[in-house]
Amino acid sequence: MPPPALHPDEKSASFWRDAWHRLWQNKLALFGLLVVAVLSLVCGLAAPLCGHLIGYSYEQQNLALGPVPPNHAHWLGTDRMGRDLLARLLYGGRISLMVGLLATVVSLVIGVLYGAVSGFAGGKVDMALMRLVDILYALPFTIFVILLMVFFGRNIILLFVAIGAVEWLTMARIVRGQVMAVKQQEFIEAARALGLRRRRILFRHILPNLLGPIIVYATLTVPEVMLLEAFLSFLGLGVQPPHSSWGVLIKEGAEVMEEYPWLLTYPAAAMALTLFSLNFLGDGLRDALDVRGSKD
Amino acid sequence: MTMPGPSLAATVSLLGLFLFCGCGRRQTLVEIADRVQQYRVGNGDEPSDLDPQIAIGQIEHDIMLSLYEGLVYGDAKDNSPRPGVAQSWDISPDGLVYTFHLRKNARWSNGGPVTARDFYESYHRLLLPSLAAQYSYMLYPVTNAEAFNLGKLTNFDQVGFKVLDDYTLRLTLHDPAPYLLSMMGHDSWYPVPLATIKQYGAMDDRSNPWTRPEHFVGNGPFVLKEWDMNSHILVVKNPLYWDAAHVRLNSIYFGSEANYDTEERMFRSGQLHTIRAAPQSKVDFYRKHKPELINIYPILTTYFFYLNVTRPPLNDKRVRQALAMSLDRRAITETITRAGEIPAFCFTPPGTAGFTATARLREDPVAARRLLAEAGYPDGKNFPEVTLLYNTLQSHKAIAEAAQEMWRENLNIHVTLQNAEWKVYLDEMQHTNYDICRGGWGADYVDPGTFLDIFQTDSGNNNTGWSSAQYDRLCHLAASTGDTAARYAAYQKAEAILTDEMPMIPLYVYTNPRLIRPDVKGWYPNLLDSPNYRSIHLEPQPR
Amino acid sequence: MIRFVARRFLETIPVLFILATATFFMMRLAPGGPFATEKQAGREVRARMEAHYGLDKPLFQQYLLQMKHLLRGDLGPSYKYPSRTVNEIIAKAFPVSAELGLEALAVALVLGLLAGMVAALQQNTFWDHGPMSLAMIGLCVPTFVMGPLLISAFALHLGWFNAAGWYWPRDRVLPALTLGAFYAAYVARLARGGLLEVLRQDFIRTAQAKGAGPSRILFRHALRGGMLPVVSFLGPAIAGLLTGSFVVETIFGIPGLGRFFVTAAFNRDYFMIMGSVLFYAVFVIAMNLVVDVVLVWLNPKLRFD
Repeated sequence: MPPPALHPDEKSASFWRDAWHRLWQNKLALFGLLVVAVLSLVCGLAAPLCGHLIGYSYEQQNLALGPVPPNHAHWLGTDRMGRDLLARLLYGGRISLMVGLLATVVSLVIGVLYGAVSGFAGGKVDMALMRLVDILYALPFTIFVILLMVFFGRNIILLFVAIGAVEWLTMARIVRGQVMAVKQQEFIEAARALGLRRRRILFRHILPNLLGPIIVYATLTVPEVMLLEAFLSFLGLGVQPPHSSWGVLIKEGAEVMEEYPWLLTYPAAAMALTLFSLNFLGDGLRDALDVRGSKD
Repeated sequence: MTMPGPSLAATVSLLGLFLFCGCGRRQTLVEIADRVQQYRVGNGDEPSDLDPQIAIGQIEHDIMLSLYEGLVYGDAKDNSPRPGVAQSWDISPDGLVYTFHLRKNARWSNGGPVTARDFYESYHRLLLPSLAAQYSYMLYPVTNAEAFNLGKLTNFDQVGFKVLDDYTLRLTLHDPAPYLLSMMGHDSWYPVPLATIKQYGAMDDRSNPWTRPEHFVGNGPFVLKEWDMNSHILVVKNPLYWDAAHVRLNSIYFGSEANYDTEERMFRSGQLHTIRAAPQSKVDFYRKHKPELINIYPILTTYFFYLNVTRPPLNDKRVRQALAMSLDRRAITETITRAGEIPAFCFTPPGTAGFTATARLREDPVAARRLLAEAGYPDGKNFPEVTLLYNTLQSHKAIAEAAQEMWRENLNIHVTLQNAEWKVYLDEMQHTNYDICRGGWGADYVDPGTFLDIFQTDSGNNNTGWSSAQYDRLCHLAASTGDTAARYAAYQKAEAILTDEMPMIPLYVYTNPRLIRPDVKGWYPNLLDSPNYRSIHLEPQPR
Repeated sequence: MIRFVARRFLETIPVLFILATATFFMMRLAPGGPFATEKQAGREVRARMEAHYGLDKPLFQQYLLQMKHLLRGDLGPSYKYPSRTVNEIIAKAFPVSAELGLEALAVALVLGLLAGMVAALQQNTFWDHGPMSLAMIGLCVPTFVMGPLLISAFALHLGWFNAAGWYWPRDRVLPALTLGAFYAAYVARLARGGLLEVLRQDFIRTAQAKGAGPSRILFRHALRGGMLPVVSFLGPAIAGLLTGSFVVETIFGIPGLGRFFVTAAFNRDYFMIMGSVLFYAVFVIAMNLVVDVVLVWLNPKLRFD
């Protein structure tokens, strides 16, 4: 007689412990986690840091000074308006990370619900919902963002919504695929045989098993969002002055890369470091949680 | 799939020269082009069309200067009118009748002569209401031109153009216009080949494809050879041009890279002889390290802020004056734009056709604070939220940020910056849906009227909602007399009104930081930034 | 399979219809029309221009007119470039973008597969972390930084290439590298992940037990399964690659579709926007179809369902 199948909740307990153990062994992923945590902390404390330690604010101009390379007064140098780069980097980081996080949360909420419902329902409902996703995939992002920017004023919250509204599509697809795969497994059939209501099955049994891929793809969505924000800045549609984001700083730095290289190096390094870390963390989580990466 | 590129003949000759010169040090495109007298220009964006009656804008203008010639053309150094197709002209004593005598050897590129009737029919087309030409107003000094263009008149014979014979054209104006000849250097006054146009479609069909290289006919020093969208336009010397003997260039390559940074890189890597303007971030670098490659010259364009006078608190002129007086223009031009721009304290650039406004705005933060207090906002208290709108461009952003900071520091008020993508910006500006809005106005021809006219009540370019009956009267007076002293006296009074009422805050007069190689000879900077390809030629520099 | 393809075809038509409708109304909602210019002509002239192009008719009527045009396959005139039609612009610009896209794809596949394979075979060693970190650079440096950096190094300082332009074969190198780097990174990661998964499976162990050499295992057995996630990803990615990257085309001065599309949005060139959207959509759907077919071929366990 085959050994009794593990109850799903029982499976989770040791599953998570195993996963954590595997993650702990992945040095790169841990490094990523550490970097992200430190950066978030530092940028989150941008205001007090600027006030007490650095001494300049991100908007304080010094037109007479102009751009100067790093020195003891301005640790990372100044930009073309004499603004301290370190202060702008910290504040910009705060915004970039916030954009990344909030847009990811938006895309997560919408995407998971949509994908789960579609995958669980199956049949014609699933087909219709996925066709809708196809249509939305083909919509011109640029126009959509211009519209949003125009109608709802130009605040940062809107930026999150715009980006989150684009990213949920991939999340929905992935979640739907996972739900379909899980749906066919034995314990679900058992639950159905036991007469459990569909909503209970969906929320109590299927969704917990999605946690793995969701975590992984959420971690990987943040860097995508940050790059998307940088692209919007390239088009001039992103964060507005005097606020800044890493995308804006990098774009401005790229324009003067030969004359004032520090204006590109530090923001680009900060962004690259963050993206690196998030990607390695995501990869490590994927290995640890043993998540397969495929469309369906 | 054919590979886009220079024409076969040019390619073969270029390759031949390349091989002949040896495979040693790699030749730059510019060095090769010098030998074949091909002028390579970074022209910015893709031109929307090359029909001078439909295309507007500097990009198209620079190309069309090579393809067409009007009755007169602007001199390379000072834009003064020189004989083009017209070899001479007479002006009646009252300044209302101009008679042009066309030269007999002017030809279209397909061999036919350029006659007075060609000009007559071209102006007919420009003024046709159904063509909806945006620059038709350039012909309005001519009697009944405006009425015909607005559909109030249907018989073109009643408009003040008359063909006296094949080579004589007469214009009759309704008021003297001393600036007329200067205006006639503009694209809207070029002749177009009606016979060719009618071959490929209706005369008033804007999508008529007659400007394609395979159909094109023009009367200028060059002829259209290649037109690859978003890539380049190539024009070659027109052997039938009446003055072809003095044209030294063989061809001109206009590159259509829309991005200033890309163009500047192309310039640096030896692909282009010149680009219209260096990116703002690089002007300093060129001035300091490569001054022989950059030429900075003033042009007739003013940079200013429109003020929406219909919305509080800007409906109070003391507030407007306070805003204007608390900006440090020198700081902006010396530390932000850094291209030698000239701080402006009046609307018309000083010295425009000899006119310099005596009414000047004063920079005085103390007085500004006092005015603001008088208006009810002492030390900026209770000052409502005001937004400064500008279109998305790094240079505008930098200036806006500086202004925002200056107002904060000097007046203790908070101005929010709002950047908008170009069309949205235009929409908001033209519907007067803003508080403060960045603006620029460039001269179409050299005369103060082209500036001051826009703030008249019924001008489509007022954009501020400001209206002054006295100002309108002064502008009408200046437009109706040929006496320069009287005109300029009226314009002085008009500038004084502007300085007092402040519907707009002048910031600076533009300069253009052009990048141009020493190989290029015969190019001179001028106020309209209009190149003259007849005089330009290339001299290879010793390496 | 024929039924599957045919069904997809039929499903596509309502998709395109909804897309066209959504795009139409979205475009018209954006403020600013195609004819707003800095120097305004008089109101009457502007009114006549709008009348000339039928923009003064009621919105719904314009919508019906647009749909009629589309059914005939006529994508309409361009407003920004009056003497050109949208069909013509797309026909000229698409081959350029497609060529750039294919070259970038080649870069992505070659570099990515190489890195991914090496990394998978040497999991958790230096040869795993090393190439993967290198591949990361492609993911973490935005194209508008990578492009100018490459140009600065190889074109301006070393003088090996032109800074911009699309004339000679040599002009293709830097843009393809810039565009391909991002996808190379993705391909590397996906290939590594897919390969690792396949290599873990029983049938590989069986092949090893039967004495098959490592390269035989790799190429005959593992690669097929390992390619699954790569193919899955590449479907929609190819559509995006081939229809043009605005950033790369702008930086390198390439006359491709990406530039036309984005500038059409900024110019409110209505027909051009619609044409580009539909063209892109057809491409995405076609690529998805191809990918689905290839996926089934790669993994017989899946079915067309």
